Amino acid sequence: MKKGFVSNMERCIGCNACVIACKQYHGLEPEMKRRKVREMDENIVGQPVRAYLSASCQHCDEPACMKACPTGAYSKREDGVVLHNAEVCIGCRMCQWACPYEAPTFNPVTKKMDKCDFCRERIDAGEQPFCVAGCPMEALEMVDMDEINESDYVSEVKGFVDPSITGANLRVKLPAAVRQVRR
Amino acid sequence: MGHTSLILGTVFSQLAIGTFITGYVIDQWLKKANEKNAFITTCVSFVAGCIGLAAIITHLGVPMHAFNAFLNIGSSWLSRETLFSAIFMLLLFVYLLIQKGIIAKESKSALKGLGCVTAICGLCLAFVTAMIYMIPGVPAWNTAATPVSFMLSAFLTGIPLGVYLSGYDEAKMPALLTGLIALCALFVALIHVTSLQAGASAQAASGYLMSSNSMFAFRMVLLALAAACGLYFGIRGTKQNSEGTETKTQGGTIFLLLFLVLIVAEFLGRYLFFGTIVRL
Repeated sequence: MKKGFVSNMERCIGCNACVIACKQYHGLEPEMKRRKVREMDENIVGQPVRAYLSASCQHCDEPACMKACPTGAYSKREDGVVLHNAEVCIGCRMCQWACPYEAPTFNPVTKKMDKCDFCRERIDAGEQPFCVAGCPMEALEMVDMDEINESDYVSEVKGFVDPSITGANLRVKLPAAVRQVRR
Repeated sequence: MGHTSLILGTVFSQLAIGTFITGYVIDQWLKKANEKNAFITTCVSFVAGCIGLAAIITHLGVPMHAFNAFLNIGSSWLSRETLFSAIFMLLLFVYLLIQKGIIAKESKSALKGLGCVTAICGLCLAFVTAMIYMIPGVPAWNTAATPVSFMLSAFLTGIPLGVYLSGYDEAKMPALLTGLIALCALFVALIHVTSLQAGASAQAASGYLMSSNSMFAFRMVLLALAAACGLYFGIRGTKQNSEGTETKTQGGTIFLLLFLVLIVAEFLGRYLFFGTIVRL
C-alpha cells in the first residue's frame, strides 16, 4: 500500500486549518510549516475561480531529498512514507534545495531540517494524519495510491511544480468551472 | 547576503585548486620556481582551501556534526564533495610538508607524482561541487553552464595568483591562457543568461533577474577587461629587458592586477549564481 494525499480544490476554502492542525500537533516553531496552502491562478480551469491548493511533502516515488542528503537522514518506508532522521541531520539545507516543492523546512531552534512524516504514529494506529482530520471542508484525504481511480484526479496543476520530476504522490481534484452569466 | 558562506566557500576552494595546479606545474614540470616561491604558492593555496572549507562548514546548521556528511556518498553530490574536499586538503597538506622538508626529506622526487594526484583530486572536487547544484527544481542551475563556470573559475583566479606567487618570469603563455579563460567565462555567462531568458517562466525570471542586476554588467566589464589585458600581454608580451627576458616586476604586477580583477568578478558571479534563483 502506497500512501498519498488527495487535495480537493473544489472544497478547499484556503482557511489554513490543515496548516495550523499540523503545527499544533507537531509543536512546530512559529516560522515553520510542514504544509502550505497556496492561492492558485484564478484562471486555473479556464474561467475565473478562487482556488487553493494545500500541499505538504508529496512522499515521492523518487524523493529528491533522499538522494541529495549527504548524511542519509532520509528513508522511505514500505508504505511510501518518506521519513527524516533528525539525529544525523546536519542542517545543510540540501534537501530543501533539491525538493521541487521545498517541503523540508529549517528548524531555527534545533538548526536541523524538518518535514511531514504523514503523522506516522497516527497512521500506524489506523488514524488519519492531523491535517486530514483538521480540515473542516474534508478537502484533504489520505489515500492508497494503488487503489485510487486516476481518472478522477489530476496530478499536474497549472502554476504548481511538475510532479513527474520526483513521482509525487499527490492527486488533485480541480475546481469545477462555473457558468459565467454576463449582464 | 544570505549565501555569504557558500559564496566564500566555493570561490576560495576553487581558488585553492587553481593556485595549487598552477604552482605545481611551474615548479615540478617547468622547473621555473625557486624553492621559497613554490612553498609560498602551496601555502597560499592551502590557506585558501582552509578558508573555503571553514566557510562551507559555517553554512551548516550543526557544524559539530559535519562528519555525518560522509554518510551518503552513494547518491549525494554534497557527500562526494565532502570526501574530495577532505582528500584534496589532506594531500595538499602532505605535499606542503614534503616540499618544506618536514617529512620524507629524501622523497622530494615523489612530489611530482603526489602533486599530480592532488591536482586530479582538486579538479574532481571542482566538478562534484558544481554537480551539487544540478537540481531540476532550480532551472537556472540545472544547465551545463554550472560545471563549466565552476571549472573555469578555478583557473580564472588560480592562474594569475599562482603565476604571481611562483615568480614565474615568462608571462606570455599564462597571460594568454588567463585572457582566453576570461573570454570563455564571459561567453559562458552571456550564453547562459540569454538561454535562460528564452526559456520557460522560471528560467526566464532567473535570466531577467540576473541580467537586470547591475552586478552582472559590472562582472562582464571586469571579465572583458581581464580578457583584453591577458590577450594583449599574451600576444605582445610584457616589457623586456636588455637580455630579452621579461621584466619580472612588470609581469608580476600584471598578474596581481589580473588576479584582483578576476577574484572580484568571480565573487560577483557567485553572488548572482546564488542570489537570482527562481524555483520551478
